[in-house]
Amino acid sequence: MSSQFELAQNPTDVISAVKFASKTPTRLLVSSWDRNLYLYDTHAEPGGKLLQKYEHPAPVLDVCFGRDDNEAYTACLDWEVRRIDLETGAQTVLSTHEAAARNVIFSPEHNLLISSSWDATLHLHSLSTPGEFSTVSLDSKSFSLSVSPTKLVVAMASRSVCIYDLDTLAKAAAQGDTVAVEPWQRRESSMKYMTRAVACMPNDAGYASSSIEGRVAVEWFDPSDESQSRKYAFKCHRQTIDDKDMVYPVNALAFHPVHGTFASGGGDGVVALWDGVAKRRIRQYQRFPASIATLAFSGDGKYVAVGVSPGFEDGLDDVPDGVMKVFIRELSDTEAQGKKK
Amino acid sequence: MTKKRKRYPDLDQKLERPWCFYCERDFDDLKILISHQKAKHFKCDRCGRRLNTAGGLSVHMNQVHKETLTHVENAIANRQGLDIEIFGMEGVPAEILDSHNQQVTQKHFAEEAERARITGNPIRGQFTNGVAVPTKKPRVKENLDELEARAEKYRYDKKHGLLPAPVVLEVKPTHPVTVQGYAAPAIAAPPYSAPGPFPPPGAPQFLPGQQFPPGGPGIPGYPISLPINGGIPPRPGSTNGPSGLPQRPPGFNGPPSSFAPGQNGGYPPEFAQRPGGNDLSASVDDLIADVKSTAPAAAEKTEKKSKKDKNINLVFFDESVSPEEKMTSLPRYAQFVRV
Repeated sequence: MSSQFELAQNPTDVISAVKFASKTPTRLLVSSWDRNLYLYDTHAEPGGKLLQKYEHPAPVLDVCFGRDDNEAYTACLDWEVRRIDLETGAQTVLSTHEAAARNVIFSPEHNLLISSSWDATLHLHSLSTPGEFSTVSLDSKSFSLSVSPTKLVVAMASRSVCIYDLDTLAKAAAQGDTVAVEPWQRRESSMKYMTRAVACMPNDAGYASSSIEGRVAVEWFDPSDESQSRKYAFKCHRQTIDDKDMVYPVNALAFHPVHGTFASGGGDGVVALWDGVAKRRIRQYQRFPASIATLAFSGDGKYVAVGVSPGFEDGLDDVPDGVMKVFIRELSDTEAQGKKK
Repeated sequence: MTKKRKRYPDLDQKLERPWCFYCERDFDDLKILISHQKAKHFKCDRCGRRLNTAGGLSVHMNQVHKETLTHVENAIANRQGLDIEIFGMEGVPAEILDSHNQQVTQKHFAEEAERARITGNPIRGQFTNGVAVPTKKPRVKENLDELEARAEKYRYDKKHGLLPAPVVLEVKPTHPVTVQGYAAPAIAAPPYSAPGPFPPPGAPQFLPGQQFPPGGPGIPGYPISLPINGGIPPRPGSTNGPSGLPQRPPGFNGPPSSFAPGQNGGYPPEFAQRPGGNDLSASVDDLIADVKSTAPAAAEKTEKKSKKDKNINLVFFDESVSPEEKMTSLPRYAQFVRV
């Protein structure tokens, strides 16, 4: 059985990220441009229960859980990367970038927190040695991060994509200061337009990336010609209105932790589930009331959280008015399952 | 066994095809349409059950999942409503049925015309009931003296530059071979259409604006039209002057070497070998040069048009500034932006 509901208390400005705790599948963090980080228990009461709100000095651009379900890290427009103790609400600044911190991501296998910024650097924080971090410079400003068990994928401006080996990064994190780390692989995006999001496959085989021009590409890490020839890209999140092809950005990508299928969320307010191996769309959900800003599956793959906010569009002075809500969908056992072999 | 499908079904067959009210797709038969509707438009996205109608799905959603269905999935913009009960082809409002039929008819004729243009074949059904395709011009009787006199007049005119201006045949540019193309010259180009052993120079045939790419021979950029020209064999002294030939399409990329005797169907082989033919070939050369100079411009024009046709609107576009970065420049976030 599947069902869908929206959270009762929602952020008041554009939602930047939604993240489930790795161990408790009903514990959800939501970061927003309204400068707050929200912690919910999605199933404590109908519509979910807002457990706590953590105010920041500036809009929060990304959030991730840390080593356990009581620790979170945020990337903030005020350039700082912070650790939030979800129990006490205590905030500690870990490092300061030279521009807004865009993304934070935690690799539990390497106990490594990675933050990226529009200043074209990564900060590597080894959580076993608190207070220290190393800086790695990138080719260009970073737009999206994703980790698999052994790799970090960084999507940047100028359509460049770098894949780092997490072992190498973990070693570099211990050195401190500025370290020159060569990416394991340097690639050009296989799409013609700006990369919007990346997400790694949970089985460590490859990653999916999306662009502002309604397109998703699926690629494999393995550099052999055989694996590289398997990569492909497809069009999605498009609509024909009055003979005009409206092409929406694909803002969010998330892999299902159990089935290995993935979801894409676009500026058209549509969430679609894809089987990347069989190259099939599994399903597409009823259109949400505004652009999909972010997506996340819970650790057990039972829930998907969808952050809906009006998206920034060209030719408008401001973000259009619209719904800002987080929807939680409970997936039935086979709902996100790919094609059976 | 299913019926064998024609490659180019006629209009009635096209109009008979069942089609889906919600997405305007058409199907081979009603069964397939119904299973399409059940799979694409009447499928419950909660449990995957396939219902027969939108109303059925609405009731199902209400009773089983306690949810209300707001619109029909995968439907085109103004057909998402639940108020019309559709099952297969039943329930489709008459005016929508009419406009669909009209669209199909329009498309059918457009396709047919396009096919006629490409293949050069007449449109099906146009020359039935014993009406032959008018490929021949009526024979004109002329004795040797009259013929000599006409040839002499032509030579005189040519020498004194009295040749009338090239006659532009009124042929639609998209129709290289049309019925008018054969019939018109008799009236439109009197000095040339009369039979004679010394056909006038090909000048009027090769109008400025036609494309002769510098690529040269061996590039039949308009391959299907070659047989049309080649299909009319050279007829020395025949009644067919070159102006009796269909006009070349403006997009015709014929190799310049087609001026050589024997290659161009319309020219009697002795034409180029005639003494005094030098001035003729010179004038032809001028025309080629003239046409060559205009050709690249024409090519550029068509290329631009094809790009324009795409009609794609990106909701967000920037080379290197992400939507979030653009958002930070909004006034309400100005106070948070560090410098």
